[in-house]
Amino acid sequence: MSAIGLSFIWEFTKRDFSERFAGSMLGAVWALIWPIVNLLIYIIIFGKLMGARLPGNSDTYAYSIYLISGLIPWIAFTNTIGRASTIFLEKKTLITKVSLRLPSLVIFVGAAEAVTLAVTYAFFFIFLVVTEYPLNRHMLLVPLIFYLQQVLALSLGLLFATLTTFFRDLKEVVGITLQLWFWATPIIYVQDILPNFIKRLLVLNPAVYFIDAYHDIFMYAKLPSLGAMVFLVVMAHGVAAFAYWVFRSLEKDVRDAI
Amino acid sequence: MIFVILLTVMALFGVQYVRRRVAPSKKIYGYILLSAVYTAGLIIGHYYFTAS
Repeated sequence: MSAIGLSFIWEFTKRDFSERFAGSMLGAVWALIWPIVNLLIYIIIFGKLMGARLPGNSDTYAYSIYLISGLIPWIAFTNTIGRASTIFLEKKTLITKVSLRLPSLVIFVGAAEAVTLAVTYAFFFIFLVVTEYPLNRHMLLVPLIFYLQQVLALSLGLLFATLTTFFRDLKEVVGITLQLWFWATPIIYVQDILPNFIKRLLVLNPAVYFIDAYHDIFMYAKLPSLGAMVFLVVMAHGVAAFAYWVFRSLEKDVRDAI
Repeated sequence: MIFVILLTVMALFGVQYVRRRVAPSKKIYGYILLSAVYTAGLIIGHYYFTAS
């Protein structure tokens, strides 16, 4: 896998964590504290204080689990796209001084987000076990679904990173689009509350395929639709091939522009 | 489990093939194709074995 520089990605991922918490007394322990606090907020505020319930489900924690199972991967997804889309500009000093493969910079962002998500999911699973929530064998699919969503996120990140080098305004457009995309995806609400014509439009939203898959597995203990999963595989890898083709076509200009 | 191991071994052979035989400019496309086939294989395998 030397074409993408695995050792480089590993070093940058480690450095990303050490730089993020550099100078603090607790250091990388903060990487554990953040997800715990976030999970507690969702569980206590939505489950206990607001008493939010899912339609047809009276379980105290049902809405919290619905929310967490979709929101944690979504945060990883948007952080990956958001950070990757400006990575060439952020690391321009490094790029101009050292000969490195530019896609490796995008992949390290995805790897760093994957570590954060893995830690958060570990605490989420501890919460599920403590509350005696029934685990199911379909949860084995979660790493695969996460992998596919990150392939999609990295591909969009590479595409935007390439284009942002020429059009700096794109950085803001990406931020606004991700915000709108969040509300267009059933993460904090259920699809059933939407009018029929909007429900039909959801098939055009690529994020719905993986968010629905998480909800199916965690909330309803059922397999996501096979058609949706195959579509997710094809779409994520198709976008990856397209993004890399665009990057290769413009690589020389990107280096010149930086 | 045997299915996962077999698929992984096949994917590793695929990685070796891409590394050695595919032109440098096309390598990434080879890895993308391998990744698609491997993940699709794991997903379809999971559906097949959990259904049976």
